[in-house]
Amino acid sequence: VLERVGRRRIEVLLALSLLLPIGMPHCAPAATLVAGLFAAVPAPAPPPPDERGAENEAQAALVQRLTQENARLRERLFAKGDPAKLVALDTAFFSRHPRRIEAEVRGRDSSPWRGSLLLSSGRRAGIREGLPVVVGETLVGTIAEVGEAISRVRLLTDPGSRVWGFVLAGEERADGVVTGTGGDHLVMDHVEAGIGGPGDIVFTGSGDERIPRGLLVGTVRRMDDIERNGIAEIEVAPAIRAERIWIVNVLAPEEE
Amino acid sequence: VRWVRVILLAGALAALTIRYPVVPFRRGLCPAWLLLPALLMGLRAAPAHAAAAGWGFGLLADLLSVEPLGLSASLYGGAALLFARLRENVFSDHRYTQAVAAFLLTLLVSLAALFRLELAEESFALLHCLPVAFLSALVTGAVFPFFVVADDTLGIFRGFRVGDRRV
Repeated sequence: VLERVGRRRIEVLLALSLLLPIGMPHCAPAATLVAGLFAAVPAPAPPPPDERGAENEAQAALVQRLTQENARLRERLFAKGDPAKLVALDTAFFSRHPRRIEAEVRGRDSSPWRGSLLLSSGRRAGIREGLPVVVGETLVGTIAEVGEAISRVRLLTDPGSRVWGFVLAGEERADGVVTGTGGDHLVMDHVEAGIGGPGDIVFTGSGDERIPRGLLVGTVRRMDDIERNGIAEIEVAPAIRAERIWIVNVLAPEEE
Repeated sequence: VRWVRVILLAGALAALTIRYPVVPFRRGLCPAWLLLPALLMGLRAAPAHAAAAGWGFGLLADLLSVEPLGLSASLYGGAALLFARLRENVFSDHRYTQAVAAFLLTLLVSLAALFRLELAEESFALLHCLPVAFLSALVTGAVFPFFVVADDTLGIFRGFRVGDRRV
């Protein structure tokens, strides 16, 4: 047997490397650190002072545009009925997490079937694992790994991401679980059939105390035609595409 | 053995991958960039060296992703080894063979990664894996001839086995 194992030592070593995830559960910060090193290699040089003014203006214009877009979405919601109570932001959560830590996106995920972003801030800035990451009032994902000065956010589109959500259709709402697919869309499952249609808006629900209720997730792109015991599946287009995200906010509690 | 050049190639590819992964493709799709050099090693290097390099490329992919450490390492290493073992039974120098091998191996590796997340049986998982595998095959078919020229010029795999001959 030993002779056979010796002849197949490469295969044995490869099989043993599958044990790495079990044997090294605490090396996520190290992995994030290594990823940060690679992300830092082609980092763009900071713009000269005279260009900073133009950059600030561009940022201000972007904030204004996003604010207007947000207001338009809210108007659209109000036009459909009286959903104010349903989409009110989770004030209790925001009182527990009053800080918004700004972080720049330094890199993306190397795997085509996963979705994550590398952020320019880490534990030193107050970022902790599991905290929600937003752009405006839109949920982008949650913090998956934290290093000293760098962290990684698992996007909603990552296949390992699961978030409670609800779709708002006029005065009706249907709860479900929003799962990432690895592609450019999300799937909302366990939704009551017959509620919602293309264009309806999906918000975060209240099933997870780590994520505030009422954040924007996306809009319904397609409804599943197959009804299984009154449960339907919904295809959701994320409110923000991953490749357009450059600056995010991490919702963090008060400093300890 | 030009391991230093292989490591430099891996570093450059890794930096490019996480900075500009989705530039040329629509709907967030991109090929499995770090799997491709592992397959290239499987094409030209000795099986043991191909497995080791594939493992290294996979480990790098794990480090640059939310993937658990070791998963891509073992899968990429296994894929490179499989390619190295099979190449003598097929027309391994033909670009169509390489593209088909890249398609099948990318599909296998991505499904294995999603299987671990218990998502492999979901229809959307397959719908995402298929285009990724197709893109990888497309890029492989286009890139391999340049790779062979680069290898002959830069000598990345000199000292490895080429076909049935050790150089």
